[in-house]
Amino acid sequence: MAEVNYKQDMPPKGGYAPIVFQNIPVKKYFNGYTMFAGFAAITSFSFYMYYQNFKRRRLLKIERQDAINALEPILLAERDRSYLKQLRRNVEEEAELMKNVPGWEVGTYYGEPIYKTVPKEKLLDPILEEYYAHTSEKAYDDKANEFLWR
Amino acid sequence: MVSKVVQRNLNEMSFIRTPLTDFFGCLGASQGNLRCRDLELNMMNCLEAYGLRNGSQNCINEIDDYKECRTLNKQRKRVEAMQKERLRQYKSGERSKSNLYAEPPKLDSFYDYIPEP
Repeated sequence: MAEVNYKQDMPPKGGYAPIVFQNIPVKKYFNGYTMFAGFAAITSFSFYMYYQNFKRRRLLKIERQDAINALEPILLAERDRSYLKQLRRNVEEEAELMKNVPGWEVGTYYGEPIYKTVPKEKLLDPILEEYYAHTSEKAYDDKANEFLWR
Repeated sequence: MVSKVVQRNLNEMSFIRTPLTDFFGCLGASQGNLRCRDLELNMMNCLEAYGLRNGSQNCINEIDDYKECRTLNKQRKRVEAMQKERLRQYKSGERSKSNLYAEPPKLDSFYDYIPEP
């Protein structure tokens, strides 16, 4: 029976270190009062910065509103101008179109006025169908199904 | 014969008044309609002067104007007649294809001035 050379694994000298099983609390940097104080400090600084930004944004808003106020009359005037121009163009187109139709007068339905008691000088705004009466159906559909965000 | 418009506005002259009369009275009127409010007031003034029975004959113009303003029937028929005439001219050869339709108006030039009542 031959002798076998081997070394038995044994614990280190002096034994293993003891197993840590008790709760080790995290080191506390702040106590409660410090945290309240820190909260108050950070919040007040944030409010200060917020107020600075708020003042700046308010000035920007006023500037923007000034620009809108300056531009709006001219934009409205241009819109009304092109509206009236288009009404005149519609009248001319109708006169040219219906010149051969017997009994047709411009602005009437075979000589019969649309409104009997409204004086001729008064403009009652036409509906969309009449405004687009002489254009193609596609142009009318583009306006009738117009999206405001386009 | 009393027209439907007159009959509808009878609500506002009703003999028995309850709190709900005024609450639902606005439904028959078109005072919120910028386009028809003056025509409706004209009609009501005329009916007030003549009374209901004589007014339905004497105020026929005002009543018809108000009806036309609410229904827009005559205006739509007018547009239809013009478009029909345009297509007829195209089919009979009086109008070329390039000349078939007029230039469309600028897209933002029309603003809907007629709020729905």
